[in-house]
Amino acid sequence: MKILVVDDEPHITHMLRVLFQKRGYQVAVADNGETALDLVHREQPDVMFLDLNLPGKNGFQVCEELRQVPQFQNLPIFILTAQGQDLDRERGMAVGATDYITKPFSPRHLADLVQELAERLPSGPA
Amino acid sequence: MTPELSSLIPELKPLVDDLASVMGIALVITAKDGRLLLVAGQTPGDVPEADDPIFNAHTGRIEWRALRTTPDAETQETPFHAAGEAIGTLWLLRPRSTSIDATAVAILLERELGAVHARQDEVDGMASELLTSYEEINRFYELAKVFDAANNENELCKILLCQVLAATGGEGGAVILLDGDTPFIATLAGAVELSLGERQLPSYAIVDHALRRGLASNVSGSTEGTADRPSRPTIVVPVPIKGNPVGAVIVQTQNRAFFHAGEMKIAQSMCSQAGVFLNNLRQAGRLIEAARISRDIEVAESFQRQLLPTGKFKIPNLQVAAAYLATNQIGGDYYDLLHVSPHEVCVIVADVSGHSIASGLLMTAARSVTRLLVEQGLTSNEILRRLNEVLYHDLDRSGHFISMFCLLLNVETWEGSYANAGHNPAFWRTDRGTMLKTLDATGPLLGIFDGTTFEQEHFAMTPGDTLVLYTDGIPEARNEQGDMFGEERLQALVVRAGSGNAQRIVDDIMMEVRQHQPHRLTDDVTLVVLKPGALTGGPELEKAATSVSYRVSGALENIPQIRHWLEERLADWSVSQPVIDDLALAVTEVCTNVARHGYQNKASGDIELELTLEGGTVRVCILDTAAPYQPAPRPQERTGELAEGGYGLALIHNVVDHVHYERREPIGNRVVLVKSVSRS
Repeated sequence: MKILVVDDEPHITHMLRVLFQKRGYQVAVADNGETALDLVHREQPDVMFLDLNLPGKNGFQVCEELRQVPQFQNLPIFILTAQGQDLDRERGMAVGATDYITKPFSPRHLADLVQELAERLPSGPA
Repeated sequence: MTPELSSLIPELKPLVDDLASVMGIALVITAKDGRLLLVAGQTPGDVPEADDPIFNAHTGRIEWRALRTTPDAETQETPFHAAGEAIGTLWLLRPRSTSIDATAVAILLERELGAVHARQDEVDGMASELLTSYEEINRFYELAKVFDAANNENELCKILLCQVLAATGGEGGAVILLDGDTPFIATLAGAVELSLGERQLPSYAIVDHALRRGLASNVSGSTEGTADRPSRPTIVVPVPIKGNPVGAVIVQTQNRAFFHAGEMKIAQSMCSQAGVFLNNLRQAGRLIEAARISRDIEVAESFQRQLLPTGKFKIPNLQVAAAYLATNQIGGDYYDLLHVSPHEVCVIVADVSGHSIASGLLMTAARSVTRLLVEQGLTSNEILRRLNEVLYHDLDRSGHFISMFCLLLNVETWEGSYANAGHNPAFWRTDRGTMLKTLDATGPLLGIFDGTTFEQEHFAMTPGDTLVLYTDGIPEARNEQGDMFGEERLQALVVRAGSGNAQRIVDDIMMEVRQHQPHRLTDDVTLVVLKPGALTGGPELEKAATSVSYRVSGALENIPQIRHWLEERLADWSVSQPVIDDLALAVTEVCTNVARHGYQNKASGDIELELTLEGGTVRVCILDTAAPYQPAPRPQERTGELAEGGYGLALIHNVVDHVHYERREPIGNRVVLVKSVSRS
């Protein structure tokens, strides 16, 4: 199980990296949209957590671009939105996000979510 | 007329003393009749200084008792001449490793006395050589004093360069020290340079080549010089530590056409000696640094240990038992038990990210702030919210974070409330039922998000229920196959424990965790079990068991630490000093045995101590994962008794009431020491 975390705040990516690695997942981290797109192609993650406010290409653009690539049409993309940013959330869902997670989030919810995804994952390479 | 040898002694003495001490030999001069006229220097090798030479009248020889005990030394004798006539004997006791020759020493002395008339040819050859080496030895003797004055590598480099320049007649140069981890990639870890006008050092490739040769090398190029090689006469002299080059002195001259072979040889000797001093400096530096760090860690660790709740937390009708095992000396986990009011207690279980001094400090800070917040009588979610505010701003997004479970429990009504910051959920088992209830509200980790709020949830227990709080070290403990212990197994254990007392439940769970992960913990483990209602079992009612555990790597040098921990805990429990001393002695003996014979001085596993005070008796359980380090009990020996372990065993039996040894299957040994205590 490979997870891509995209956020420009290092303390958040660090926390998620620790959280997921502890549970035995592989974690790739990007702090801007361009690197994120590059990593998706290179690392082929199984799930992606995507912050919306990124330097360079923002989260909406990243999500939109990825959905145009047939290979990534079914990649679970969870956007990370701040509390009260309802518009962001709606726009994120409109450009193809799988679901949203409101910051601040409980690590346990995230871990449960990833575990659920891992269980649904086909055992061989997709 | 032939001079009387004895009359020459006052003149000879300073010279003989000097020669003997510089060359590290003993010299004796006897008259023709065997009388001892002069004794100088010390017998070489590891023999007592008082081991004076004795003249053996039977053999007519000087004998050193040292000769019998020092196979490294040998005696030489040669006639001592004056005016062409033998007037006495020179005896020399020298280490076999040296080539100092008695005849040459005699010739030198004779010449110094102006007493040489014969053997002029010999003198020319041998004495001049000896004089050179005498001078050389003297120079190194002086040099040692000069090098010894250096306080650091840079000073040593400067001294070395000046000395080499003086000895070789060079006018400029540099000292290069290699970076220890990357041999032959010369980074200027330390360097001094005496400029010769325009800088003209050889390239690193050339220096590298010279270093690999291990000898002083001439590296100057043609008269024009090349990119690699300077045009001036230049030599590179390796500075070795134990034969491996760790740096080089580069020497140049402008005024001469080349350096002599002799000069290069002297420079090489100087650099070799400097290498010895460099090594000393480095080792001293490492020792000081290691001592400093280990002292820092010790302070941090002892500070942190004091922060864990001790046996002093007592609630009449609430059983509390806890286990805490730290992987590092400085742990990332912590738990706390606090009185909020006469009828309310607060339980905190937390896990600080990372295992470092920073994590330890963060834990300490978090604990202090939490205690303050708890004292204010805040709700559990408010405690976490405020703590997060403090940590978020203090941590300054350092990447550290804390998961924490904060629980408040009314010890009269057994109603409780809790809030959770990203921590493993606590759960409880009802007294009669086999069902577990999970306190599953959760929230973000502390220190990551600004302005986080938490939910507070309520629950109600009844006496006999079992409440379990823990850190992820338990469910995530992995065995050698990589399988995790799992929350299900933890919960199943609690269900199975039924209505056992809190300490029993903790013991059972910890035993299973240990069996799952017998060799090394990968993460800190914290477990707190609360049971409303007094202990069942009559007379023990008032004497609830208190138990703590400690685990460190099974190295001999950790034993003082174990002892220290034991003494502190027992003192916390107000155990009297004589009892503490006895137990400390016994535990030290057992642990030494484990480290020495069990782990064979390799620290290939941990030593774990469980310390329990129950009903006026202290029980120390010492666990290891070593192979049976004592022979398995022979048939005639009663099981349950320690096999022979030398005087240590008798000692242990003397100071404690009961000793019990058993082999733990599948792995390890268990020694239990029991001693009744008199409370001070």
